[in-house]
Amino acid sequence: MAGTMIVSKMLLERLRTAFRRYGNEVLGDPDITIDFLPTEFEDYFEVLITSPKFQSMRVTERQNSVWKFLRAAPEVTDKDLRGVSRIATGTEAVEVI
Amino acid sequence: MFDLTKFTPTRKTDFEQLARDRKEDFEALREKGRWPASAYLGPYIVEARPKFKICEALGLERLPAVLKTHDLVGLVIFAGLVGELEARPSLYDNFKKIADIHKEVTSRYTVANPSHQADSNELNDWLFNPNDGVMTWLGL
Repeated sequence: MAGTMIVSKMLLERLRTAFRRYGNEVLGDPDITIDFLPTEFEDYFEVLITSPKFQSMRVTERQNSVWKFLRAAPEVTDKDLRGVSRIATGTEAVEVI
Repeated sequence: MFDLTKFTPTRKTDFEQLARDRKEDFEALREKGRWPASAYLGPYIVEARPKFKICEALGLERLPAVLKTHDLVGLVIFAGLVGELEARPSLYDNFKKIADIHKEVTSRYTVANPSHQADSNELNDWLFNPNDGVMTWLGL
């Protein structure tokens, strides 16, 4: 069961900016959706990014693509990414409650 | 409320052997071209090893039952290895990619297709790359 997420809003905004740029520049999708989800550990969180453009990419290709982009993104530092326990990719937007 | 005094029936030595067994299974599936099944099984190699390391670090013969989890990040935290992992970004990226594949379990429901060889190969690299492979780091 997921717990509480205690993460800086500024960090989440920096990540959101980087993911939006990933959507625009890599996927060509300005409407990529980005959700942050808590984990059992309050300093760690998961990210769910969704775009129909992922349909043409293999599962591991998506992972390599997004992590490579983030490590080079000026918006976020290596320290920022420590709290990201995984990045899930989806092709259909779902409502996260 | 968790009972902190309960332990799993699986022993420390079993977890150590499990990691080796799952690695052999992973390799056997890859040799037979069973790509989605190999991608499904591969992350279990990672799961078994921190469970062994937790027992080792705590001087226990069995894993505390509260740690009966598939959460790879949680297992690495309790094995006392998260600082080491976070200090190596490429290794940590590989770890998180595997954590995603492990949690998604998409391969479990994927009909075999030759194109999935690339997924299996990439997972193999994240696991066993000599520089930043997760199992290279965890010592298998």
